[in-house]
Amino acid sequence: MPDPGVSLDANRVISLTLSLKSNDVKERSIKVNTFEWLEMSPLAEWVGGSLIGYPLMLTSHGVGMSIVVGILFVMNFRLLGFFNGIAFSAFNPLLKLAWAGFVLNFISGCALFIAQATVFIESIPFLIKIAAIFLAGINAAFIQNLMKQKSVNWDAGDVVSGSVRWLAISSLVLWSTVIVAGRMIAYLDVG
Amino acid sequence: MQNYFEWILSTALSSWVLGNEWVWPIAETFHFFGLSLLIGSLLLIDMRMIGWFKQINIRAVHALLPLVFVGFIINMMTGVLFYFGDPERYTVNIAFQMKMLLIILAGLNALLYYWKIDSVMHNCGPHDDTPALTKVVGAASLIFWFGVLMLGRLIPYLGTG
Repeated sequence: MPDPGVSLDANRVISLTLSLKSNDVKERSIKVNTFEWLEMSPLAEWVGGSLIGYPLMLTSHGVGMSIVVGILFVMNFRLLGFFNGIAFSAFNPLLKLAWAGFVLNFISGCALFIAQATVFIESIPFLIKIAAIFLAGINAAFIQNLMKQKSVNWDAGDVVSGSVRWLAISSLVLWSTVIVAGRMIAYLDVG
Repeated sequence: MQNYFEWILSTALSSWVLGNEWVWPIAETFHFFGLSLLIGSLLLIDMRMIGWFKQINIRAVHALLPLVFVGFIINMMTGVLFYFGDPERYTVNIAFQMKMLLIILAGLNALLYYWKIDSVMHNCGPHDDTPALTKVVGAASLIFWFGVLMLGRLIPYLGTG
């Protein structure tokens, strides 16, 4: 005896399928239109079409990367036990600079994205890169918070716990993923 | 010049770069890791030399130099791969020429660091301000290396020849 809740007559199944299909089409057309619209915005046309727009944004993106990834790599190595001469507490002001680099790359990244929004949104490496940035950002905020609370104690001789070391390792892995996936956007086939 | 290009393109290294399509993207990825290591650790050293971030013990920053060297070696090796893969394009490219010039200037600046600054930094109090020459060498290093990074990014956009 089938569960009455799932027994549907043929007509209802067809109409349900039709409505699903029409929703799907609608959603797709909205999606495409949103990214096409972004590409046609004045900022996107400046980035994509002007002589300096794209190179300027790409160069800023490189500068920001070296600041964010550079500082975080050194900090993570410090958390893992290298460069003992540098105090943990010295990284607190450096992390603010790293976030400045993050903001620079968020802005330049958005500008680069809208110039080719319909291409990027279908690129697997791009989506992996964005997911990794999201996780790496949360990870950095976590580590920053721990540094604020514990760096003075660590400098006084407290042991950096295993869980903090794992946070440092995942930060290294996540930022490396960001770099690799970012480079692959230009090489792996889109869609 | 044509003979020179023909010689480069006839090398085994050049054929290897041109014959395997994965070499270029992988080398580029390593070039980005190298630049993050190089510029990221130099950023800490140079900013402390300028006199910023005095919380950093000035006698400890030289411990970061191996990281700078690792970054530099990675980028020199991958850079050679790019050059051997497309010598005609790079040689006449203005951004590339300026980038190489800045790397030479950054190298001379590093020699100045070894001869004049290293000992000064060891005699400086761990969290003290730095002497003028130390500040100048640190600032010059930052300007040269960020210049190298930016010119590298601009190679596809700035005039060729």
